[in-house]
Amino acid sequence: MADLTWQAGAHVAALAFDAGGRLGLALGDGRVQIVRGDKRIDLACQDGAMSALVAQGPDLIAGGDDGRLRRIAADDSPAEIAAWPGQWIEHLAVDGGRVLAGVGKRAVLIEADGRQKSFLHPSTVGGVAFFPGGKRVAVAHYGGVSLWWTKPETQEPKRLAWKGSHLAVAVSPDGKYVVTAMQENALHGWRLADAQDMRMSGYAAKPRSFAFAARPNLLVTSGADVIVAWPFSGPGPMGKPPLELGGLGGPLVMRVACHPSQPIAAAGYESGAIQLVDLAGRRGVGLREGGEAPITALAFSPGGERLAFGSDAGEAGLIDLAALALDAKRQTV
Amino acid sequence: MSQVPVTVLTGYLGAGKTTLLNRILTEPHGKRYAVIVNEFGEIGIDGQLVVGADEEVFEMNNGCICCTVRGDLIRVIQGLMRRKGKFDAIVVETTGLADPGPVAQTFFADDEIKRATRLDAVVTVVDAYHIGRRLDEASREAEEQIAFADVIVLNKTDLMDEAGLRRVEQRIHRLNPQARVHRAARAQVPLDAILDRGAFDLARLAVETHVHDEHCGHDHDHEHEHHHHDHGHDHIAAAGIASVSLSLDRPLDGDKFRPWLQSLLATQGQDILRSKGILDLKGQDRRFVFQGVHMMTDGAPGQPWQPGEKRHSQMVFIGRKLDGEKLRQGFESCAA
Repeated sequence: MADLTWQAGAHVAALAFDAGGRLGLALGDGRVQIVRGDKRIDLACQDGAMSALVAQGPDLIAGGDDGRLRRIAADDSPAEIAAWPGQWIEHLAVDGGRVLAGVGKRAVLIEADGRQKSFLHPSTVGGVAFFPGGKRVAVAHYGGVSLWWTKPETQEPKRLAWKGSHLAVAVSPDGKYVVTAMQENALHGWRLADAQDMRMSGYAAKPRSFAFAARPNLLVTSGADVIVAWPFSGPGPMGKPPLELGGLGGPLVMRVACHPSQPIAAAGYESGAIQLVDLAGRRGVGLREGGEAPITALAFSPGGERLAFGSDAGEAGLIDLAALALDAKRQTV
Repeated sequence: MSQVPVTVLTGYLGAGKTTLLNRILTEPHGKRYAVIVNEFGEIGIDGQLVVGADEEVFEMNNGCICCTVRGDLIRVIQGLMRRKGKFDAIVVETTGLADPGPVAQTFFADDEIKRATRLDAVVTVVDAYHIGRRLDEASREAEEQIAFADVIVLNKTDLMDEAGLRRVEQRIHRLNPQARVHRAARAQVPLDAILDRGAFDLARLAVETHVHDEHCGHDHDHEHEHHHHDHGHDHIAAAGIASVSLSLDRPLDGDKFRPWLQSLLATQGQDILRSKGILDLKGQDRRFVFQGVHMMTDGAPGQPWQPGEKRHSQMVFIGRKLDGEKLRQGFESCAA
């Protein structure tokens, strides 16, 4: 399949591939655009902005600034899962058939059967994530992160405290670390075993986008003019310098994504450029030279053979990585 | 990329903020506003973009400057940027009890907000009938909202006689000699007096030739006299807000002035709400203009001095615990 680019017509807030390979784009004008091959369908969901989109098996789950959470089934029919009028649904995570949504100061866990459980925080939720296995969740807010077990009806959360505003959260694949993006051009991490704090700083902008690579064990981050990757193997990143990968000699990395199985990461730049880097060999290859606006969304397909991107100005594209992989193989043989 | 102008609308509950906001939203001015409100329900106009925000204040630490910002505004404005092109300007309504400092600082402290928006002006609606008593009680919020304002809408003037209004205007003027005061009844003030003011725009400050201080008078149309060593300050209450105006007819040494101002704001920035200056720096053909909110300042070259023009420097500080004499000595020690 050849590369494909198009104009989606509005800011691309999020991208997600479902298990069947269908691509969804959450757009700033209230649409969710569905892409199958070279065919596109627009679902006009509301007048405001769509702000979050994640895949759940064959479905897409979309959050909007209208406070509604929608499930878009494999046949593209949207159905409302829940509604919280007056709230913005900007943070979503999934685990199996369950969805975790940030709703104002609450994180709401919606079970596969529709039952809801609500976790309340002292301030607005900045990010949500499931632990691997899904028995626990991490919720970022002012002053740190709260960890909640998903089962008990009543509980006190474990609080990971660090002063400031936390804007996104992720849990490492081994469940040993929790990392947040902060208002102050830095990431903060906690090693859960001993509650050790980790401060990952030195960024030129907020490292809002970050992801754990499947292998090697690296945290790949945005916010600098190169891809900054922190080593998380062994005792963790304390005292170790990060790897600096890729880079275009100026523009900042706005979004990163990690390949689902290979030691490969993708970076989307503020210039609209897109770059693929080999996390092991550290080589970089350019996939897009630039565009009208910063990259705002980036995602690998479930098999890792395609990379989708979207920009602040509504530029969108699907890049075929299969041809590239063949080239790489030829080079390494 | 063009920056979206942001007007901050503040004032006590009942002063007429909502009336003014409804006028901004309904009058035919051809502009589309996104409005960020603290309480839903008071305004409800079909087809308008109205977003709720909780007042969430936190301390941000960027390098050596520590400042308090409104996280909810950062979040909501960034969210609104997804809908770029759907609105031309933003109005932020604050509650009557809100501190305007963190609101203003938000537009200086966050890089992404700074790129996407520009703070146009802080507009404070004052109830002419009740403000006297609020100030007698040394209400911290009432003083701060006046002290922070670029524009003051003195509302409910129909409930006062001329002498009473003059007294109120004088008190406002002593708290904040910088602000433009517009009398109004039922918030009937021309919208172009409050919108698109460019009050934080250095380029606009740069074409002004003097700082409006308490010696100017309200209407700014009489002759100004700038005395040597002229300064004034006026304490409303012992712990309350005051303004200090400084002027100097000898040129300043930029290498002395900058560290003095920096150290002043680093140590007293929490108490200095607003600062503004139009300065004669030695060796410079143009005025140097600057303005600040607490510890954050912004400066640039302004209008050239004309041949034969009497050069001088002027500064105004508005804040708490200001020692006028010490400020004057510090300022004068920066003379070249």
